[in-house]
Amino acid sequence: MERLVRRTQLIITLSQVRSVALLLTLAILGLATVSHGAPSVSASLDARRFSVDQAATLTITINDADGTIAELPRVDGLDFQQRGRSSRHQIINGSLSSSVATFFLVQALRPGTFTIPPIAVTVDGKRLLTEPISFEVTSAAAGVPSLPNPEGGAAPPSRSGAQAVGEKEQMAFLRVSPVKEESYTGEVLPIEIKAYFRRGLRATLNTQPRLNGDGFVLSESKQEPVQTEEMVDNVPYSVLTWPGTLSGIKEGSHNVSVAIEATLLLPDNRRRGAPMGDDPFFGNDLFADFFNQQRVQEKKIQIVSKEMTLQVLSLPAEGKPAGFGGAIGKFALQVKAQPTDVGPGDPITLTMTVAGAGNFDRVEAPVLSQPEGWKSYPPSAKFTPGVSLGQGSKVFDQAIIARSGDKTSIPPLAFSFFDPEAGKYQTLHSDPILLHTSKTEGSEKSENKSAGDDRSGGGQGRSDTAGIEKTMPQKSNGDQSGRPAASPLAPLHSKMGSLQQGLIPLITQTGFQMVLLALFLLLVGVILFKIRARRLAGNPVLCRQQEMVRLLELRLREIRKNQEQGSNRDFLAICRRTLQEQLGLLWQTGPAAITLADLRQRLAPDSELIILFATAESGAYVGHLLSSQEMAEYVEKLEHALRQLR
Amino acid sequence: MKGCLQLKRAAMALVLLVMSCTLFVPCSAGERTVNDDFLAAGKAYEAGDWSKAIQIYEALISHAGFSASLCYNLANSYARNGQTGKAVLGYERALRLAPGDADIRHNLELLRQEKGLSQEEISLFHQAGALLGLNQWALLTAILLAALSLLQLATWRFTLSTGLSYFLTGLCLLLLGISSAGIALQYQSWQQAVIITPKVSLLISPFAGAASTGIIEEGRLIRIIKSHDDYTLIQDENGHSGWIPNPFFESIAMTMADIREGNKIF
Repeated sequence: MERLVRRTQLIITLSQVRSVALLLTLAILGLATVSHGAPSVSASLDARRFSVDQAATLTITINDADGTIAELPRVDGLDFQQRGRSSRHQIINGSLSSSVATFFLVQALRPGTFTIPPIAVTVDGKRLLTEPISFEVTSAAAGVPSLPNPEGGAAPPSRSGAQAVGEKEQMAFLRVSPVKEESYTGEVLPIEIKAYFRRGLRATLNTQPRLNGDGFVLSESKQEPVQTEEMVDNVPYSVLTWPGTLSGIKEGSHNVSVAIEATLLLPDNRRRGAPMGDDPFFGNDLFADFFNQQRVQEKKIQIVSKEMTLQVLSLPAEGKPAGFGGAIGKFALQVKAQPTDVGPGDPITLTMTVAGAGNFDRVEAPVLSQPEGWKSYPPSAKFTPGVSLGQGSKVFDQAIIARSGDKTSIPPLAFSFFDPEAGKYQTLHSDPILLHTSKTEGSEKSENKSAGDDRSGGGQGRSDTAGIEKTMPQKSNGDQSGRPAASPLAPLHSKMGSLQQGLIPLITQTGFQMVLLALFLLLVGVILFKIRARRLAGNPVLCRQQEMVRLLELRLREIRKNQEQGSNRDFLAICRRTLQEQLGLLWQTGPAAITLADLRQRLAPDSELIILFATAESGAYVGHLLSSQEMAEYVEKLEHALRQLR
Repeated sequence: MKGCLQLKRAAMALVLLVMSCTLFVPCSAGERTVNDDFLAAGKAYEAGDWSKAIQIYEALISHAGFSASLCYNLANSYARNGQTGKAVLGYERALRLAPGDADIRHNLELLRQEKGLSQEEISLFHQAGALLGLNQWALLTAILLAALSLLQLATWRFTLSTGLSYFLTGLCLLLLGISSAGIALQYQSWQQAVIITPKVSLLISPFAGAASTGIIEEGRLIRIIKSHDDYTLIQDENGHSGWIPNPFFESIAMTMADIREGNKIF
């Protein structure tokens, strides 16, 4: 039975081999007789309705021929990305057919109905066209908003002319508000530029807001934009706000808009194209999420505000004041004078403050309404910006001098501007400022001098009337240094003073630096010594050691003195006392209480100190005396032993 | 013997006389010349010959050195002569040497006001720093360091009450801090320079054909940032910066060697 089974298997295997060989033979024979069909092209889209956050695959197939696809048609709102090719060959009933398919990923930039027009394919020198394909793109499925469009929203820089859609469908859009439709040349229009980005959208600003269109100048705040959150049609947006101003520079009607460029980082959750994107493993979002690598795509966009048509009017010629300098806005004038108690020739400083809102760059200093009899000097100006753009105050300081001594008040100062709200020019006048004039001897002299020959007064006064003083404010009455009343410059110094070689600060001179360094080192040295002394005072061991040294030196001097004098008893008594003192300090006991017994008890039996102490005691109590030689040796041993004691 | 002794004494007296003449006569003559020149310059100024006054004052400075009065008088002469930049430079130099001099301050303010060289309002901190000059602050610092050292020595060697010791040490340290701040503030003012040429263009690059970013007026105080060949990057008090050719400004600080090598005082 088993043999039968084996034979059957062998027969089946042999029959299979024969079948394959037969088929191969037929195929080889058939190749000579295959026929190709007529070449054709077709285009298909795998979905006729999809949302903007998805993509469809466009397949262009060329049958039975080799062909090349000419450039894809440009369709506004659509983006094509080639994703690959595949070719297929088959023989059916002896007829060989082949096809080459090219795949494109089609992405829509906004919702709407689109039509891909016929696509031209060149086959064997002939131009064949595909059928047009229409499809519908719906709004974002969820979470991801649609890509912007350029009109009233955002758009890729290369696109233009797309249809407007509502802001709620935009992921980013720009608003400019409020803007007066009519303004005058040079008038400053405060505006607010707001860029809206869907909350959760990651965006980077590439540029500051800029103006599209002629006839206006946009000045924006130098400050960073303020970031807030706003709801637009129940959709949350992150909002960046820039304060700015618009100024018309050319009369006429102008179409302007504000634009800003940004880069969006969009989550790439688009459906993959069939041939490449549907990879069951690597194309899976779950796989990407597993590695926390959410795909994002960078999208450079240009956000453009809705176009505004603004009218720039020229300033009326009628009623233009003589002193009008081009200021347009709403202003207030305040004038102060200092000092008001003056003599003839004394300079008075006028502080004129023009505050309000308008084009402060064109605001000029107010002028005296009756300038006769007054000499004015060029004013200095300082602008202080206010809280909002276009607001602030400009302060002018100007020196004026009365040419004659009969001035009792400063005449009103006038400032003219054009009020765009009222549509007419206005001139502000300050109140006259009363002066308290005082004629002094010096001032009278000054007047006389200025009335007569300037160069004939002699001395400092004479020279002061020439040259620079002709254009400089006059100094008040003569001071203690004898300066003439009319002298604008203080006189020369009559003493030369101490001379020094070069104008070099002392601090940079090496000698002085050395002195400073020496003083600093001295200070540091003293402080270090004090620290050391303080440490010593707080350490009982160090104190005891110092005391032992001090006492030893003292006693050794006494011992040597007695040794020289040969006073044997005193010598031995002091030696004994020295031993007691040193050991007393060491053992922290009273020196008088230390006996030979203590030494024998606390020191090693062969200690030199025991012998020395015993010798000293025997001299004191027994009367044993030492020769001078023995005294010298004793002192030497005593000193050696005690110095080692510490 | 007696005659020999007298001869020796006479010879010694002669030698001493010669030595004293050698030592003192040139100095006296030199001083006299300097004073004479100083007076002559003053006379030229009062006669309205400011160019001559400038010439004499400049020669005096290059030979004898600087003093506050010399710089001030020279600055007055420049102001009269219409050379604003050099006048401001002279006043600034004079102020560095005599910061409390009312005449110098008055004339400098007057000149600035006349020429529209308005300055930013100086903060109280800087005003306090300007109460003394850099040299005065430096000397005060040295004195305080010495006082502090002596105080420490005194408390080490002699018994002083702890409270008094701490008070004096704290006072010295406080004053030392103030004087150090004064040095820091005044040192910055010594690093400044003055534009001495009218209407100098600020260039964006250190070469002749570079584009201009603006004009800086004569008499403006500037801060030197860095140099490149014949150009220097400067910044004025309002924060405007740019490259300007080196001859268009003059530093306030200057050594005698600078004067003699450059043959230029102001």
